[in-house]
Amino acid sequence: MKLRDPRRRPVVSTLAVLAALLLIGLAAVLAQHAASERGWTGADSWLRAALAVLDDPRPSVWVLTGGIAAALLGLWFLVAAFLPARRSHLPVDGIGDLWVSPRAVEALASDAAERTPGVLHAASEMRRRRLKVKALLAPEHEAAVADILEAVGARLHGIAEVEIVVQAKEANR
Amino acid sequence: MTTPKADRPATAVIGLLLLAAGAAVVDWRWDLAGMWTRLDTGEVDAAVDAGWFPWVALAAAVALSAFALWWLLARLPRRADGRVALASSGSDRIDLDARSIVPRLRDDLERSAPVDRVTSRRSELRGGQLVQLRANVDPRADAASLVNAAGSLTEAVRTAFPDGEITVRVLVDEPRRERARRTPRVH
Repeated sequence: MKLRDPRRRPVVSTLAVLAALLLIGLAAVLAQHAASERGWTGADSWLRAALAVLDDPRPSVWVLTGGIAAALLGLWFLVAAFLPARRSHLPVDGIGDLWVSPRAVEALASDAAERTPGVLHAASEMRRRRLKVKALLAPEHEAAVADILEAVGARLHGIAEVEIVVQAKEANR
Repeated sequence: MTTPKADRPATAVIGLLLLAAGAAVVDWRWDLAGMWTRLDTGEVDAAVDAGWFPWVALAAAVALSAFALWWLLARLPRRADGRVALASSGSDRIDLDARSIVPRLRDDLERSAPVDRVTSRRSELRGGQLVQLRANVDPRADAASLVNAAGSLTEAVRTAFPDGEITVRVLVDEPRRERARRTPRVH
């Protein structure tokens, strides 16, 4: 049976909480109107106050600001509703059902690069299938670039099929 | 947290309504489509003044808040039942509680793979349970040891449960922050 890939939580899941709270707010306005009209509370209806505003020839600054905010929020909701959940880990070939996060691959690559002779510091960044290793080399160790490529490739062999790019900078004496 | 199935359709509908309300206000201000000038507020006021309106508003308030509360509560995590029926012979039947083997799987992974802080999550899968182990990698780890550890764990589970009652999946995350490391790193 095919299992679903591990995925991040979709954006819509967070926005849905906001949408549910908005619904509760609307329900509160409707309930207050009913309570006010039936005389259960002495306060004036909020809904009537809002409807009275509709007779204005032009909306006030507050209504306009609220309207534009509502339109932007609605657009965000609509886009998020169709955004798929992103995959959180990369699959690894083998008999085990193993998945590795891109951050873990970066950490392994940085460690492999830092252990190469002549490298003072290394940091990695993964974008899609491209791993960029930025290394700070000790003076007169330009040849370490090839060693970094080899070390990172050997360390990641078997878990991540990525294109490795090394960007090296020589430290000042 | 789980993601309820209602999230996408309900958020899309609410998004459309918000967008329509916002567009109406913009049209009111700049008179782009002339919609607002044709709006007769008299009919709206007549409906609100009608005797039935407060009851309809009350019913709508109850229905909306019930849906919103269900929607909020549906995302709270639920504990999956741990029982798994093993293959039975004749009238005998054996149920296994998957919860009993999860700590063992966590220990096995922590011992055999260069990882630490293994956590687990169980979820129901058609006819069985999926045990998802999640761990932080040791930055000194090499790929082969991770692959071998996950492979031997899967193999052991597959041997113990040949009919796939329990399936194991391993997720490897970035190392924990240096500050949280228990032993100092020595270069």
